[in-house]
Amino acid sequence: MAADQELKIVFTGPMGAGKTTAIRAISDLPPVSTEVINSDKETHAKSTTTVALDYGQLVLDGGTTVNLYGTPGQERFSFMWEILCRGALGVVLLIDASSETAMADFRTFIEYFRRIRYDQPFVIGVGRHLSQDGYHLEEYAKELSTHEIVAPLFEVDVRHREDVLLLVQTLLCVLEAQVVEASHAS
Amino acid sequence: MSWNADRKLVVEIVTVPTEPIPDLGQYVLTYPFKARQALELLLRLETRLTTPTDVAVVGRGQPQGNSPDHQRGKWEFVEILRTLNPSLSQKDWFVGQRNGESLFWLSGDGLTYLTAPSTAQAIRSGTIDLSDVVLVPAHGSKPNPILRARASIELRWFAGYYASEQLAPWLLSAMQYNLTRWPDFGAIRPAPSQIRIAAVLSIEPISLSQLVERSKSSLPEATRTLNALATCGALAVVESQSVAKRSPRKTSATPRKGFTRFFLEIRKHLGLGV
Repeated sequence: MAADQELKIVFTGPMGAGKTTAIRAISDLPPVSTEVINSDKETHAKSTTTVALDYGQLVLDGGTTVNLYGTPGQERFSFMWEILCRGALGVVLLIDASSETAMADFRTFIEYFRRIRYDQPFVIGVGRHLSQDGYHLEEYAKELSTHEIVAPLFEVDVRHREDVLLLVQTLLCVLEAQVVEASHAS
Repeated sequence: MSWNADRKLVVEIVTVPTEPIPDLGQYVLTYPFKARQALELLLRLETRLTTPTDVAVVGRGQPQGNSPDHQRGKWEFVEILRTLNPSLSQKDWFVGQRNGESLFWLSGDGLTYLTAPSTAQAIRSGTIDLSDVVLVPAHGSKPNPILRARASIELRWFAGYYASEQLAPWLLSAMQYNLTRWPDFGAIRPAPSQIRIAAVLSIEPISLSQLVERSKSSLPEATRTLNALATCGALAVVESQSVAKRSPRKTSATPRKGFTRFFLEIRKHLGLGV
């Protein structure tokens, strides 16, 4: 299969946002991760981190394979983000709202991924945000609005499979609506 | 007060009336107010400004518009929710009461609400009638700390969804709508058909009949979901003349057996509802 005909869904987001966990939640095969000891504990306290990519797979009944990729979170690997996103069915962006850099990360990723392809189905999952001092998803919604982006933005906990499925289901619905619109336009 | 003394018209919007309101006339809205009350006030003002007497008051307390009263009644609580202002402090609480019974606490910014799990479940399943719920300022009282905070988008969504199988009074079937923002489906947990409807509305402006066709939903489901999205402030009306044709989307990889088969297979594989 030519690279541009590969069916794939890309999970992206900063370090520690839960990309590996999300792929593990839905992949048919044990995901392949290229994790190493995290040497950047100032940015995130997790013990290991992905330096190249995560890889999982869905093998559908008819034999069709959908590849699941998790991008490396560090911005210095951003050259890989574009390569992985090329031709993807859609992108799932994960943000850990408990991180001190969550909002800056959010800006970086939405700006970068909208630039790659503005109409690529794009779903955002924000984790761990409903705390005792209020509901913070609104701040992310305002930021999206500032960038004139209308994208699904949901509170999720990617440790729960149903939350990952909600993101994938929404991505499929957006893709399906685009396909239907294209068929009406042609 | 001096404006009033000069016979200028003054409209007062009172947030939490902890003190007696100065008598500036008849143009007072007490927050949270219903959209209908604001409309009535504007009509009274218009009449007042176009009638050369001091006694022109029309329709005070009378419902305006084309919808029958019984239909309007279903939307009373939704109309209150639509006027909540997120710029108010989250520390000012309102109590949602029905027949004198407290059902939930809603933060002043309208973003979170607190209630018992059983009430939340009743709201989500539509087994509780919210139409005659009123919001009463808590006057400094605080909610019970054992109540769990929930995103109030859940309350808005289900209040709008279950209000009626007819379009909300402020929506018209002939108009085209599109999605301006996605409600937090992580908090709402909508049915697959509702995600599909939101997705279709996110692509291009569309009328209700087109929405039914493209989302492959029933008319009642499309109508209720449109009502819910509108209650969440997620819809915009688009003038049909102003709809610019968008350039065709760049394609992602295309499944060998076509998209229709692909969507069926992947949903079946992941156990997602159709």
